[in-house]
Amino acid sequence: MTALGLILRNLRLRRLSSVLTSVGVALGVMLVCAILLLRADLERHYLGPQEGYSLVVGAPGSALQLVLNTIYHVDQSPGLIPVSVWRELDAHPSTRLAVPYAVGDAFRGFRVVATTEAFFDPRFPHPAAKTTAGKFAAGGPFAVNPAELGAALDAVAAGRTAESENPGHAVVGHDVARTLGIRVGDRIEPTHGVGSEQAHEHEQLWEVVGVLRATGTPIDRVVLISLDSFYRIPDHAGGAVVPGSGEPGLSAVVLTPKAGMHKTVLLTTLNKRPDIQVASADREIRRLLGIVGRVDRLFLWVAVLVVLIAIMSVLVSVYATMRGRRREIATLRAIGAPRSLVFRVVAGEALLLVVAGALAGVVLGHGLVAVSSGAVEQAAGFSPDALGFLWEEAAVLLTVTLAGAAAGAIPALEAYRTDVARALNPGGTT
Amino acid sequence: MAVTLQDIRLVYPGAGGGEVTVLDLPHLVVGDAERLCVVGPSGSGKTSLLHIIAGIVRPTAGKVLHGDVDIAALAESDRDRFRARHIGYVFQTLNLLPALTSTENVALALTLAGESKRTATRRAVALLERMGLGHRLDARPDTLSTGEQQRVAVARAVVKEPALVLADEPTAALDDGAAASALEVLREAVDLAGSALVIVTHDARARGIATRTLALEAA
Ligand SMILES: Nc1ncnc2c1ncn2[C@@H]1O[C@H](COP(=O)(O)OP(=O)(O)OP(=O)(O)O)[C@@H](O)[C@H]1O
Ligand SMILES: [Mg+2]
Repeated sequence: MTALGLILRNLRLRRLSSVLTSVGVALGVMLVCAILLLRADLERHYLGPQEGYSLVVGAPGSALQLVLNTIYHVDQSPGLIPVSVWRELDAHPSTRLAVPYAVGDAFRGFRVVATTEAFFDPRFPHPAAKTTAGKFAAGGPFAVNPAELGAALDAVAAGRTAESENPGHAVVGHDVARTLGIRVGDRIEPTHGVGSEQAHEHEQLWEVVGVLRATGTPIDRVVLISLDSFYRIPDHAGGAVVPGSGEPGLSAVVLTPKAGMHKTVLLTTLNKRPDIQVASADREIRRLLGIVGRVDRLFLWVAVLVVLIAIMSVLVSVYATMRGRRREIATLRAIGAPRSLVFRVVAGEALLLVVAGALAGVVLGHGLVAVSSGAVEQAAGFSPDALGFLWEEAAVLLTVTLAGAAAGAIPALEAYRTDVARALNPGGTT
Repeated sequence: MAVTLQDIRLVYPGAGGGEVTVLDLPHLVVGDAERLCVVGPSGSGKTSLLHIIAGIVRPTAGKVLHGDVDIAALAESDRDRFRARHIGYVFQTLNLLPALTSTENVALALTLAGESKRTATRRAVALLERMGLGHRLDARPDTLSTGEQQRVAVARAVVKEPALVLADEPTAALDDGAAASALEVLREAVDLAGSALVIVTHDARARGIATRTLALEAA
């Protein structure tokens, strides 16, 4: 019989305590893995999409809020800026592309963003594609009719709602299309207000003209409508104007500066203006992750501590049974087992408990992420990927295995040193 | 393969800083297939003698020749290997490994002697069946009666057909009836395996199965 055979039979004999000590390790490793997975997904979610976005112009207030609302479609917009700001930025010599955003509506749980064809410009980062057509899984872009937009804006400024014979056009993100079963040619009817199902219904229908390619970014979960149609929503007659001036408002303008000095030029000129703020997407997100990172590092350390305590408890439990097994070990030696076998049997027992616990912990960690993905999506606006495997997890497994081996070595050494004659003949020393 | 002990002395440090001579045996031979019964009062060094013969303890001085191999001169790992191949041991207390079944306990002695797992299991089963334990092959020690446990222990000692079987008060844990049959089982098993036997005992009946008796005196 090999060492492994003896180990397995010993563990089977003390089934309950074996399972319990292993479960301790499993719970610790589960926490570590879940935290690592969530952290990786958080970074992927927040650092991935902001690539390519440069500046976000919006109402004064929290820069982070502006970025989160515009790029990640979470939180509320800090307020409105006059449409004229967009026109001005669009014409600015340092601007490469200016994409207007008007937010605040939702369609069956998905946020609605009103914008123009600039959103589908190949220079706009998401979905990344060389051509406008390349951004679409089906159908194509909409374009804003300048005359209709002008009429709608005039009407809003006058406190009225413009009429049009043309239905508004909509393009939906990949997840929206998949979740709601929407296809090109369908007509949809957005309701007002984010997340509220019972709000007033606009008496308008939008025709879906395109479905975007999957990007793995928040854009997958957005319904885009043409900006002119946004201002024709009756509820917006009073709500879509900048308080005070009465001018029609936008939530934000996503600005891509020309290469070189132009970003600095835009930042310095725009930051002087009291009516708007400019936020650098990249800086805000890194600052946010810096704060979140400090918290999740704390969680991670707590989880690591749990793993360490669990490994200690394996050591203690194996050590305790080992002391009670002195005579058993001496018996093994007396029937011819070498010291090394005795060492391997005891060390292997601890190692196996730890490794089995660690493997179960990895599986449980992924399970925990899968089970909690709904709650995470509610809270943080992204749905974590429970099936991805991180290299950090392999590192955790390796480290825990080494720690298990070290923990097993202590009682194993004691077993190795057992004085056979004395253990077989306990009365012999009196 | 006869066992010859020459000028064996075993000395332990005494309580007051002096020395205690536990054993002093100028000469002892245990011939092939001989059955030697060792008697003596408690503390006279009976267990120590078996440990020395088995190579578990090294004597302070002297030679322990198994055939022409002096086990007292071997390194520990070589003594372990020698013991695994050539010596069977039956203990005073019931020393079966609690995690293993009867078959596994017996087969372990064979795998430690270098036998393949399959052969070991086959031979263990055959011997246990022969010893009337065919119905307890897969039972673990805690479900066996003490008599059955001691029979499994005897099977473990003889299954590799060692040159020598050492038994340290094999009936101490048994009641009268079980003790008598255990001695008979041991004698038969040793006969069957063709092994020599050294049995330490207080049990007067043990002399009945012995061919010779050695009396040790209190140290
Ligand atoms: N490791 C040891 N260190 C010191 N003294 C020892 C050791 N082992 C045995 N002795 C001593 O050697 C003597 C003989 O012990 P041993 O166990 O061989 O006697 P025994 O004849 O088997 O006794 P019993 O009939 O009680 O089993 C005892 O006095 C004991 O105290
Ligand atoms: Mg004794």
